[in-house]
Amino acid sequence: MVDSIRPTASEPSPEVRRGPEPVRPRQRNGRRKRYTGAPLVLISINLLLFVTFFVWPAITGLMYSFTSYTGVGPAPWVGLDNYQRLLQDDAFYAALIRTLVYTAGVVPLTIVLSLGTAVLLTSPYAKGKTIARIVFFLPWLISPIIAGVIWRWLFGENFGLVNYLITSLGGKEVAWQSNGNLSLIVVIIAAAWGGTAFNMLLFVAALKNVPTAYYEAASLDGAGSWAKFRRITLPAIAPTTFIVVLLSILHSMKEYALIKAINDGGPGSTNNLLVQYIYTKGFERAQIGYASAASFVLMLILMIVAIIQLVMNRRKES
Amino acid sequence: MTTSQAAPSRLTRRGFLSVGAAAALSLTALSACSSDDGDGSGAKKITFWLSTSAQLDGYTNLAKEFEAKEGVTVEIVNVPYDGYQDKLRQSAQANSLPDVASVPSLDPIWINQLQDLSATANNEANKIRKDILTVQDGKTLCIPSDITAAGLFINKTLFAKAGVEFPTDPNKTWTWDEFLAATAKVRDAAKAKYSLVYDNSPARIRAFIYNNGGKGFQLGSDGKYATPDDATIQALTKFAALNDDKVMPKSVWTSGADPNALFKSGQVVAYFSGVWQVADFAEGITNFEWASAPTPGPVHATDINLGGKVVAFTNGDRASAAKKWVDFMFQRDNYAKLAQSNGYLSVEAGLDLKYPFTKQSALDAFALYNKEIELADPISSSGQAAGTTLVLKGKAIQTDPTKTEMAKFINGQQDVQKTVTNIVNGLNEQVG
Repeated sequence: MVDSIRPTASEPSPEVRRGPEPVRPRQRNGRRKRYTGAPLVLISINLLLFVTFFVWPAITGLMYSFTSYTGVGPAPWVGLDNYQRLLQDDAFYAALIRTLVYTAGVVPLTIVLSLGTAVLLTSPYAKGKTIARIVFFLPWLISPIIAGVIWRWLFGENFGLVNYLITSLGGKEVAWQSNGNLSLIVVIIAAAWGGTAFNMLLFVAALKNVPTAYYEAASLDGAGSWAKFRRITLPAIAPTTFIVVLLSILHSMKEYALIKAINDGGPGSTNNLLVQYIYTKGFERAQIGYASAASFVLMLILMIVAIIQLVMNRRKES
Repeated sequence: MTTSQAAPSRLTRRGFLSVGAAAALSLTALSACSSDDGDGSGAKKITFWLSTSAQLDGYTNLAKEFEAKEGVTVEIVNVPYDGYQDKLRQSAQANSLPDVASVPSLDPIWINQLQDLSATANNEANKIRKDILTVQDGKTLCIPSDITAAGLFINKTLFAKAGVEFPTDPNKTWTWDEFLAATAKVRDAAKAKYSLVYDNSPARIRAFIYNNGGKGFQLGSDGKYATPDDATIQALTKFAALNDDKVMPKSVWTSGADPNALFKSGQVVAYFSGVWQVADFAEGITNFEWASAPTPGPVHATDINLGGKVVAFTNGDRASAAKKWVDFMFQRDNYAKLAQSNGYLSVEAGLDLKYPFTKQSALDAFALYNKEIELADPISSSGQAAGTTLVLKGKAIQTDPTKTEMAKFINGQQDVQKTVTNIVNGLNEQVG
């Protein structure tokens, strides 16, 4: 039996006494100044972009969320009214729940598909890896709108390819568009298909970094493929899995383009996700203040998700 | 081209800064050169936004003639219809409106940035119909490019295959019940998939309500939308029931499936849409014969509307060129070419238009539409009139909730009463 590999202890055990700190060479004033200035210069462009395209719009958005701004003209201050209204809005809750369901569907499916593909592509027994890698990476190069149109053609209820195949085989047409749950399932599959490519690359890189010595030792111990995968591969790629899960959750909760292209949040308003709800309120109904409040609630949710995952990961590592 | 490997090492910090400064200056100079604002002597390039699937040629040809005559390039940007109004809104918010646009409706958000088009509209030589203009304090805000009407198209091949007759004279039209019975017969006999596909739009459903004796959602004298009459509620209920995946596919109204594509597949007996489809069908349908048929009754009505409303924005130095382009567009000879090429019902009186269609069905369709507009009940243009009234009061319906609320009703998310209440509330919320 092979034990799971564990991260190497990064700190010495308490019994080991630390030696005295090595004496650092004295630095001349000019040199110290250079080390302060150079990093600042190096990060200045990023800092400028971050402030211009994130901090400033975020502050503006936060301010708007306390107003009844319509997009032009004055922005009358309404205090917390938008937030209070939001908490009583059934459509907001419906969109939030649908977003959570969508995320709960997309993330595990993406992980399974991308990890499975990566394992196959790194397997020494696989043939045609280069071509397969290109083929599997193609979905990442397609814009979500185009991907949506493709999936709409596939799962079009009236003349879609899938229904054509089903009816050709003697089956009955499936309501891929006008049934709310089936409609969501199509989007989940399409999103997982679209997200597999990039995550697969991350997993491929992680899998290649797992030392082969572990597998050799496990083979000598008589471990089978599944045992090796469970006890060696999965723990070794845990940091990558963490990043993939985090990114997938954040990306899924912000989904807009794909669902817009596939079913426009339909049937009816059944599959309106949070960002679509925000877009409708902000840009179609010109309720910028209210939409800003909803955006901040979404940001808060995403921050909570990220923080929880980071804390859990840190605890696991320690 | 050769590159020197020693070059980077010669770039000292001062050199680096000099190169950076020079690059920044060059970029500034380049951007100044590429600016379309010109130097005050008039722009050489203007942008013209519109949204069309099949009416682009007329504008493209006209833009070439305009460039040859005035030396101003017109960059035509075809914007997807879905979200076009939002895009204009966002552009107004970002202070980057186009110079000229053909818009579905005016928006109070940017209405104060419009140029006065009175000189073109009132030019006697143009003979533009005065009843279609939107005039505020003597200022003409827009000139519509064409008049439109909702109406019915049928798959003539399927009707012939089934041996079912259809009316051709709007004076002797059929009722919705007769039409549905006829199309059901055709569907079964010709083994088609659906009887009808129906455009997913509030304007189109207005025609259905009027045909069935309802007054629809009317703007009251108090500037608010009133709860509709019973006939309207019955019409909406009847319409929802037609979405049964046999008479009509549910996916069009609930999930945005494309009715145009469905009709073109040849598997649908009829399509309720509008006059602007004629140009597209004349070219795009080759696998079966189609025809325009009179709109079913019992009330002889349609939804008469205006096509793209042409507006010019006050965009600095480009404003003058923008106005010139609009004027050029509506000069009698130019407009005649545009209307013929794009298949427009004319906004200029007395034009003898010879549409370049080789298909007799397309020419017949125009004759039928003109007759339909003549015979239509006055209620047919009430939607358009309400829109103009609101715009002149500085208000507008940006997102008509009818489409979304009917989608929820058809999808079984709410009943007809809730649907009607939500539509009325949604409309009134926007008019304030």
